[in-house]
Amino acid sequence: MAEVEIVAVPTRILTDKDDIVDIVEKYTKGKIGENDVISVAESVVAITQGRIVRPEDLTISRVAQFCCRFIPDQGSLASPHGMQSLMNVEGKWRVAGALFLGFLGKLVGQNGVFYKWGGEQTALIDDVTGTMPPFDKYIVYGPKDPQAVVKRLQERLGCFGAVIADVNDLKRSRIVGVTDGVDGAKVAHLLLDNPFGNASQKTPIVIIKNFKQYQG
Amino acid sequence: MGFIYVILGVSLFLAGVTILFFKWEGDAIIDVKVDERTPFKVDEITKDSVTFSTKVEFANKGTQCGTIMDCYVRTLLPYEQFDGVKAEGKAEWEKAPREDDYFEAVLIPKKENIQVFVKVKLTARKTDDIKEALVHMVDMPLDLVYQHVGRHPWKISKERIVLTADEIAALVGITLAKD
Repeated sequence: MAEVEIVAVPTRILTDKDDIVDIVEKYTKGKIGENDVISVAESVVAITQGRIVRPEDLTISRVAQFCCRFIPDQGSLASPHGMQSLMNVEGKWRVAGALFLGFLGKLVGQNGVFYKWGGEQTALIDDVTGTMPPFDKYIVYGPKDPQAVVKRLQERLGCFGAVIADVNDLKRSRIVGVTDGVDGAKVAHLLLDNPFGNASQKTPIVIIKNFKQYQG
Repeated sequence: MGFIYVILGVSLFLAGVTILFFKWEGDAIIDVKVDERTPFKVDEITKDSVTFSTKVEFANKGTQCGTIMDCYVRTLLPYEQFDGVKAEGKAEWEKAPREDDYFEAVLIPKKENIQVFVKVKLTARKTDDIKEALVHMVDMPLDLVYQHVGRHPWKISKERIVLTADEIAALVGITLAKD
């Protein structure tokens, strides 16, 4: 049986002028087959969708400055502009309320309440330094309609499946969008070593060869 | 009436606890130690140009993580004062040297520091000999400008370094003209 293999695909820097499906098709031409899964970095999908904002373009509210103080150091929402960027898309009072509920949840030993009630972007926003130049100076939101994106990718490439993954060097791997029939947990496990590379390596596309057989 | 006092009391208590928490939590405090920088040295010298550098520590003295979002060197050499050289400045994080003039945003965890090279390139304008051009050089201020953020909103600060004519003369081995 063919063994599963991870193939990182280098690209140029992608911007909001690019269509992620066109780009993936262009760079994977001749490299991807019907048993393979295509995996695309979450932040790069978001960048091609224009889902970025400069901290300088945000008006920081007092509520954001207050709420960010309750997020642990180094978190993407720990800065006033990180928190404000979340409040701009999920609603100021929803985020503040979720934070309060999260605090109450912690008092009774329940974690993750803030992320559950604060809106889907709560766990997806990357603060400045979170991605490669020139986007290291931007806040990058999570991608819009990830399920629709992976469906388009699979249809265009004719592969076994497609995923959008949020992976970092701290051994965190999370699937943000996945096509039907693909075991997202198994893909996430295969991507734990972050084949997308660090911030300055331009490999936002990863092909998981022979994933269909691997999944069984 | 008693209920109102209870609400008021709880509110004041929570406000007090929050203020104490914020004071305990603190913030990032970026200290750019220009007074403790290394002496300027010559990185490269060609027939018509010379590049100097000094290393400056960016220390986070605070209790929270800080981010340097951007950093650059502004050279201040107006041609009204001296038009014999063109000056170009650059800031470069020691661990991420780059050939372009881009400064990649970098985190400084609490109580840690990064080292930044301040570089300045002088190119002769009216002659092709940099040593000849520098004979009339003047003291040149360099503003080290950095954009930083912590628990506070982003802001831009700057520190000044002066590259003196005497330092330049000593480094390139010339004698300044007495004019």
